[in-house]
Amino acid sequence: MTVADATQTYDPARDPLKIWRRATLSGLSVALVIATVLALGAGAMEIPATRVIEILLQAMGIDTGTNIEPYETAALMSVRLPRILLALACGATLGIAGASLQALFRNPLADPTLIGVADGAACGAVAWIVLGGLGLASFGAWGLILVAFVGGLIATAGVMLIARGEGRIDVATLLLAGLAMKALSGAVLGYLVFLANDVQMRSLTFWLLGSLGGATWSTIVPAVIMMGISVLLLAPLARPFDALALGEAEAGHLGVKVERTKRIAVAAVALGVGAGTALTGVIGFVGLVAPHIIRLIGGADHRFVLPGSALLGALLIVGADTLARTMVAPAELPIGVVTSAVGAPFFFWLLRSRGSAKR
Amino acid sequence: MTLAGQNLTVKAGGRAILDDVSLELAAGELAVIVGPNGAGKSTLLRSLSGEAKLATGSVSLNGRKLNAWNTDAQALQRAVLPQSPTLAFPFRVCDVVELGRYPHRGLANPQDHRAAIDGAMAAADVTHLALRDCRTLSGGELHRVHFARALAQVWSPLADGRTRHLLLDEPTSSLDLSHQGMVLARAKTFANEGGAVLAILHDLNLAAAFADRILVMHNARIAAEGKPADVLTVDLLRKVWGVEGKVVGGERGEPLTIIVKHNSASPERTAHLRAAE
Repeated sequence: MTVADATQTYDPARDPLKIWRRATLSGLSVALVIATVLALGAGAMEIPATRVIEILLQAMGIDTGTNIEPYETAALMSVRLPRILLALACGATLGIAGASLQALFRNPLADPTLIGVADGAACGAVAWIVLGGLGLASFGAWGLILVAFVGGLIATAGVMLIARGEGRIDVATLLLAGLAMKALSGAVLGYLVFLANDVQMRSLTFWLLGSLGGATWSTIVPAVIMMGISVLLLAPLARPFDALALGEAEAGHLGVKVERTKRIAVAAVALGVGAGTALTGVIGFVGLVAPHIIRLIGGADHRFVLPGSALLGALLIVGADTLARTMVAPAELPIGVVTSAVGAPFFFWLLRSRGSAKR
Repeated sequence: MTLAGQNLTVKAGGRAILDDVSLELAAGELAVIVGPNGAGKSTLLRSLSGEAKLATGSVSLNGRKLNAWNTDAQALQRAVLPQSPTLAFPFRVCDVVELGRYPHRGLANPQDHRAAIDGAMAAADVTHLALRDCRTLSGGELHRVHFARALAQVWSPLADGRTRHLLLDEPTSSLDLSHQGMVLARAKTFANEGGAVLAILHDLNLAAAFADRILVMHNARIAAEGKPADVLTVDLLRKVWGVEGKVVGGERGEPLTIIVKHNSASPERTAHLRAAE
C-alpha cells in the first residue's frame, strides 16, 4: 500500500489512507483476539481453541453444554489468563509509551529502554525485592509498582533535564544521557544483585531478563489498573503530538500547551512502564518497533499511531510470550530474550535505512 | 493597534540582539521588515509571537498583554510561519495543513474547517500535492505547505471582532518567482480584509511591491520606517547593506524598483557598517 497517488485530488470523505488506517486497526484487533485465544491454548498442556472459548464462556456463566475437566479450567483461569492479560496490558502500554516518547522527542529512535525509564523502574523494583519492601512491604504489589514508578520517573526526568539546553531537548544529548543513565542504573542493579541472597538471586535473574511468569490475579490487578491509567492519559495527546512534529515553538503557536503535554506524557510513560516493569522486568524493543511498523503501514497521524502501536505492542508481547513458553517447553525462556533477539536486528535495519533515507 | 511591542530587548550571549525596539501593527496593514543578516529581524518577530525571552519590554495582542491570553486564545489570533519549518514524521500535505485548524477544534463546524483547509491549500498552490508525503517535496513546495497551514489557522482575517495576524519569517526565501508574488499577494488580501501581516523579506523589490510600510532593521534596532518610496533610498542601501544602487519608478503607476550593483558589496564594507554601531 503506497501512501498516495500524487495526481489524485483530495477528497477527505474518501481519503484512501484514512480508510486503510481503519482497516489496519480493525485487522489488528481481530488478530489480537485470535492470538489471545491461541496463546491461552498453547503451553505444556495443549487446549484447542474451541475448548478455550468454551471454558471462557463457562467462566462467565454461560453454559455451553460441554463437559470440561476442572484441571483445564484451573490451568486456564488461574495460570494462563492472568499471564496473558498482563502480556496484553504490558504490550499495549509499551507500544503507546514508545509512540508517545517518539512524538515527544520528535525522533523515531526514542524508546522506554533507550531513555532510562525501564532501567530506572527496574532499579526501583530490584531495590524493593532485595531490600525487603523498603518499608512499604505491607502495601504488597501496589508498593512495588509505586517504587518502580518513582524509579522510572527519576531516571526519565534526569535524562530530560540533562538533554535540555536553551529550552529544547537535544536528541543526540538525550540518547547519550539515556546511555549514561542505563550505565548508572546498571551499577545500582549490580550492587543490589551483589547484596541479594541466593533465594532473591534466583527470582532476580529471571526477572532482569524479563518474564511474565510471575503473573497472578493479585499482582496483575494493580499493575493493569496503573497501565490502564497510563494509556488513558496518553490517548488524548494524539493531536498535540501531531503538532509537536512541527517543532515545540510551532506547536505552541498552534495553541498546544507544550510543557504541560510533556509533563503528562513523561509521567504517564513512567507510570505505565514502571508498573509493567515492576512485574515483568525489562522487555526491550517493543516500544521502539511497534510504532515504527505502524507508521510504515499507515503514516504518522497519532490518532492512528497511538492505538495502532498499542494493538501491535500487545500482539507482539502475546506472541513473544507464547514463543517463550513453548519453544523449550516444559521450561521457558525469558521473554526479554525473545523480544531482543527479534528487536535488535530490526533496530540495526532501522539505523541503516534511516542513514540512507532523505533526512 | 492590534499587535504592539514596546521597548523590546532580547539578549543572547551577553549582548543585545534586539535593542529597545518598539513596533505597532495595525489592522489592514502589511508591514515588511528588511535588513541585513543578523540585524535582529527574526528576533523581533519571535518577540512579537511570544517565543523569544524578553530582557525588557512587553507585547500586547488586541489590547491585552500577551501572557493575559492563554495559548489557545493566542493561536486563534495569530499564526506564525517560521523561517525553516521542520517536520519530524512522514505526514502528508493535507495533514499538515489540517494542523492549522488545531486551535479551532470544537469551535468551528466541519464545513468551516474544510473551507479553510481547501482555501488555504489553493491559495498556496499545494492542492495538487495534498496526498503527497511531505518528505518527498522540494524545499519551496514544503515552505508553501507551511504557508497554507498558517493561512488555514487564521482563515477569516477578522473573528469575534478581533483582528487576526500573520507573522511570516522569510515566506518567499525558497520560492520561485511566481510563487513569491502569489504568497505575498495572498498575504496582502488577508490584510485588506481586515487582518494584519508582518513579514520578513530580503528582496527589496518584493517589499516595495507589497508593503504598506517598511521597517529597516540594522544592528538590533529599527534604522528607518515608513512608506516604501520614502524609506528605500540609495543612501539607505549604502548605510545599511553597504551596496551601491539606484531606485527608479514609484510614480505614475510605475513600480518602485531597486537596482543594486551587486559587485559593490564587500566584506570590508559590511564589517565597517557593523563597527559603526
